[in-house]
Amino acid sequence: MTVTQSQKLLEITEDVSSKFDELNVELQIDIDVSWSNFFDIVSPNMFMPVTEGKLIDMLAKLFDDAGDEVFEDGMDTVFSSGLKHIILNHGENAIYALEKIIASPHADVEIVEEVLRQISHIDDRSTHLHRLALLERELELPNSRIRDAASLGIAAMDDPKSIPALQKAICNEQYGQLRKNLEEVLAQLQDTQ
Amino acid sequence: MRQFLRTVRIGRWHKPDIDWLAQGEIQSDAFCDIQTKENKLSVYLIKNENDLLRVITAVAANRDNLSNVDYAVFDESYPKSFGIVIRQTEGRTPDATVNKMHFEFEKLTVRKLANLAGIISDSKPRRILEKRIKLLLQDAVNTDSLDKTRIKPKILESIHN
Repeated sequence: MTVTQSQKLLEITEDVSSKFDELNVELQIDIDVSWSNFFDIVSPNMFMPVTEGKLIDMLAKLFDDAGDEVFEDGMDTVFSSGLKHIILNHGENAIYALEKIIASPHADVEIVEEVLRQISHIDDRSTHLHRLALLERELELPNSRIRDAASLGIAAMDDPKSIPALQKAICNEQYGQLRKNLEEVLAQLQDTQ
Repeated sequence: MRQFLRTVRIGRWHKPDIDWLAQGEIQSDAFCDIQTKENKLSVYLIKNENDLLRVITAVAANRDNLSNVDYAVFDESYPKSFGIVIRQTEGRTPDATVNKMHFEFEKLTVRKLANLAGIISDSKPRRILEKRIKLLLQDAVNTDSLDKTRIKPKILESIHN
């Protein structure tokens, strides 16, 4: 990002609540900014309530950009940082938007798996129950990779409220290895309880 | 019996709900877990359960964030039987003992990688959940088996919470 571009961004931030739409346009048109760069520059309070459509656009861009990433457990990526920033700044609305995106039949399984792992590691009480509910729902999907990732997310959140959902998932699980993994998560939550 | 250990993501090795996957086949996404660099692949050689847990802990300590560890273990003779060249090299984890257990499969070809994928799939990869990983890391830090200066701040913060 050039100095001129940075100055322009700062000027725009001075009255951000009334100019958010303008900022959004400027960012898209004038500034070649990566997601990591974007979140270094833009302060959290710039994120005023935005429409669900805009949140979906932001998340969709993040998903598109992550298309070629190969995710590894426990490693930060531009995608994981971007996702966490969006959820921390937009709270419940971001989770609603996320639910819509990952429900798409065209959603990349590798990225959806990553979403389910990452949303469990966000330190935000205001969206805790919503994220937990999302993970519990994903336990019922037909794709075993998604179910597995959802169980990992639930394990990471370590909230015994998910015990009934896990018990149901174990009853329904046809795949032996996954059922065993679900049982381990259940045992962990029961131990936490 | 000595075995090689390779970390994986178990989901990439799933088979049951992929209707186009023929019997004995492995989904190609599994190759993400055996992605080579300069035709080499990093593995650890373990002798027992203690070694296994120590390697898992060191690998977890080498990451950016606390996470589960999925892994496959297979007999050390299998890769040799496919003509895979094996060489001991220094590992780069925060555990000096584990670094001595590090090996590389070298001069890998696509055919050898496919054979290796078969070995890993047959080994039925296993998992240690994040909560237990945290306990293993705490123990390793307390007993000084990990060099704390080589652990990422977020991991240190997580294990102290």
